[in-house]
Order: sequence, then C-alpha cells, then structure tokens
Amino acid sequence: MENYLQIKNIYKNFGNLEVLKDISIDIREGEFVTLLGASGSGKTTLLRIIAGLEYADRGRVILDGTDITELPPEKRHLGMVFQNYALFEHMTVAQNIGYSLKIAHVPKAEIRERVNDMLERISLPDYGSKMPDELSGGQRQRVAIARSIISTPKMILLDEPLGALDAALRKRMQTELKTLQHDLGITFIYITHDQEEALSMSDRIALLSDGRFTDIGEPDEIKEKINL
Amino acid sequence: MKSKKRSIYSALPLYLFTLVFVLLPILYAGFLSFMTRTDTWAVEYLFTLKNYTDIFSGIYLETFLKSLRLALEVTVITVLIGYPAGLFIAGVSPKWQSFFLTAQMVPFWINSIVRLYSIIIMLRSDGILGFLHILYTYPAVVAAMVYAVLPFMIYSVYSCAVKLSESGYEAARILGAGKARAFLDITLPMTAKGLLSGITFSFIPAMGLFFIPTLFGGGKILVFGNLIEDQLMKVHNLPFAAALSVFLMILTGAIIAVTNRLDPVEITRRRSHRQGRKP
Repeated sequence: MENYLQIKNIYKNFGNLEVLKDISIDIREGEFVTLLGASGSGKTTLLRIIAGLEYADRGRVILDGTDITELPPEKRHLGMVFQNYALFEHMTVAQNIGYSLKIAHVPKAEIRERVNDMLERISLPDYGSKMPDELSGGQRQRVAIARSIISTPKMILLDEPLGALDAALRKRMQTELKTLQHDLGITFIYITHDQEEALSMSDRIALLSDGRFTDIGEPDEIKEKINL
Repeated sequence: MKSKKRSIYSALPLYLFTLVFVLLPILYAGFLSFMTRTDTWAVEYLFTLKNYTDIFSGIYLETFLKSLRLALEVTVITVLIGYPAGLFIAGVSPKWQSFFLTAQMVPFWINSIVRLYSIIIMLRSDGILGFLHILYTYPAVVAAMVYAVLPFMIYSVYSCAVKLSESGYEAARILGAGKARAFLDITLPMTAKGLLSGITFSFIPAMGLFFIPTLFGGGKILVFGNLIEDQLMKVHNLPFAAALSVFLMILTGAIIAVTNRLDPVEITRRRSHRQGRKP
C-alpha cells in the first residue's frame, strides 16, 4: 500500500518554540523509514505525535485509511521502543512481553505460548521469570522489542533504540533489527542522529532540521547530499 | 585501610551520642516496664507483668482502640490528599517542583505549637474559620493531625515519583492500556514504596501526637500518647508509662515491618526468584 501512513502538514509549538513546521510525508506499508536529525530537530516530537503521546496543533495523521490524529495512544495499535527501553521494572520479563496481550484479554494459556515463542525468537528462552534489572543492556533492548511486536501492531516506532549500547553490540543489533523488520514485514519508523546507522538500515531517510524536512530520499541519494 | 580507620574514629561521637541518649534510655524504659510501682514517683525493683496486662484492660484498652481508629482515619485522609499532591509535584517542571516543596516547608520555620495555636485562633468562634464550628470536636483533632503529618506523605510520595520515568506509563498506554489501567498497572505499583513509607510516617505520629488532641479536642479526646503523658506527668507511674511506651514502640516496629513487605516491586521480585530456582 503506497500511502500506509500519511502525515499531513503537521505543526507543533511548545510555548513560543516552533518545534515542527509544516511536516508532511507518506510512508509505504513494510517500509523502514529513518528520521535523521540532531537533537532539538523535532524528530522525537514527530514520533510522539504519531504515537499519540503528543497532539499536533495543526495537520492530520492518517494510518491505514483511518484518521488517527485525535485518537489516544491505546487505540492506535502501535508498538514503540523507547530510548531507555521503559521496561516495567516491577514485572518479570514474561509479564513485560505479554502485557499488551493481557490488556487485550487474550487467554492465559495463549499468552504463555506466544511469550515463550517470542523469548525463543529473541534468544532469551530461559529468561521469562527474570526481573528486568537482572538483564544486560542488550538483553533489555531485546525484551523491549519483543514487547512491542508481540501483538503484531500496525507499525513500530523506535526512538534511538540503540543509543545506550556500546559500538560492537550496536552493530550487531542493527543487523538483527533489520532482519527482524524484514521477517515481520512491519513498517518501522526509526529515529537516530547517527548518519551511518541511518544509511545502513533504512529504505528511506528523512532529514529533519529545525522542525522541517530538508530532504527525503533513499540512502544513496541522501549520502550524496550529506557528503556535498 | 587507613581511610577506613579514620572513618571509624570520626563516627565515634555519633555512636557515643546514640548510646547515651537513645539506646540507654530505651533499655532503661524496657527495664522499668517490668518493675513495680509503690508510691507516686517511687519504683520497687520487683519483677511484674502487671504493667503490660493493664494495657489490655478497661479504659486503657478502650483508649488504645480509639487511638487506633483515629490514626487510621487520619492516615486514609492523608493518603487521599497527599498521594495525588506528591504525584502532581513530581510531574511539574523542576522550577515549579522547588516552588511547591519550599512552599510546603515554609510553615516549618515556625514552631509547631505556635503554628497549631494560630490555627486554633482561626477556628475559634470569633476567628475567620469560626463558621466551621469544629474547634474542640473530633473533626478538629482529625484535621489538625492530617495537617501535621501531610508534609511527610507528600514528600515521601514525591521523592519516589520524581525518580520514576514517564516512559513506563507511556509504554503501557501504547501497548493498549487506557489512562486508569496504565496508572493502576504502572504508576501505582512503582510509587507504592513512597506511599507505604508515607503511610508509616502518618500512622505512627497519629498514635502518639498527644498535644494535638489536647489542644484541639478540648480534653475530651485522648490518644495513646496522652496515656503515656498522663502516667508520667499526672499519675507519676513510671513503670506503667514505660510499659505503654515499649508497647507503642513494638507496634511501630510491626507496622514498619509489615509495610516494608507490601511493596509490589519487592513482592514480584521475591516470587520471580522462587520460580527461578525451580528446574
């Protein structure tokens, strides 16, 4: 589907500060799109508007043919991976991963089965009864991803998910994420300020600066423009 | 090695102070509580359990139960006001946080008795709150107690909530939880530790703050703290006053032990470790 997610003329101010100015982009289903920009460029605000954690002052967000501009986050059926992972520290790894299914009243036996499948998939099969603070940074990252994809959301939003990892692990997770996205066929909207990361992972990159898109294109085109 | 030695010496005055002014009086009170009273101030060193059995009889038991009820009511009201207030302060910008915390602290620059008297002046029939007609009644005692313990609750909830990242609640929302559900599943359990210690810091003073019922209840309402005060200052029965104090201390310890075990974060952790040990 060509226009799976349509972002139309979004404006957002915080007080007197214009954070987003006339932002528009169309994203295909299954596409991996990266929002690349320095801190303060407005990329996190845009992601939060898509998630429903913030509301735009003007403009529309249309997902899969439905106008979701005014919908609260719980009605949008999205997944989100936060920069600090935002794991529920008082729940076990299995409870974390199965949370969205529990909310959706999926039967307990089925939740257990799907959580176990997911634990296999992220290569942490025996970690279900552990607490989040017993995991390493990379393991926490995987749990956060598993938690966001288990209910097959319409789209996954990732806010600098690899920002806190060391360089080697970061490289490996980039590959893993890309493979995962390819296997699932789910649309990914990915935020980073790391050019190399954006170039290696994305189908398309949107350059964000001072609350405006300065360029949108495939990694090759963007690479040329950055190097100029 | 050297620095460790130095740290022991530098802490010595603290240990001496604690030993002489905290530990010894408590041990002495514990010892006195098993002795026999003979005359007004006099104590005979004869072992007895009578002081403790007396606590559970007649007027003393009745006062204890009434005091327990008052402390419970004060605590419930303090939770209802203080918990949302603490969460609210933790949620505003750092500038406003320090404003609210300072505003809450300013009254403490005035002596508490002076503060309570000024409230009494307002509550008197010719005062600006005189229309309430609550002075020297039970509601006045409850209100004054809530006023006295509320800052502890607010600060305790605030200091726990301010460390909590908003993203846990937001993650729950995105995963399908509505506002109320995300609050109950994430915010409440993650701030329960602050709430529970706030409860401890409200309930315990509410059992013992004897001057509030004296000032606001017009002598008609007694709490457990009043019993201790009366036994000391009016009846001069040192062993019984000691027994009442030791009993209140044990009760306090029990409340702290129970509330410490109620933290949902710790409960899940213990359960997870038990499961983890299974093959």
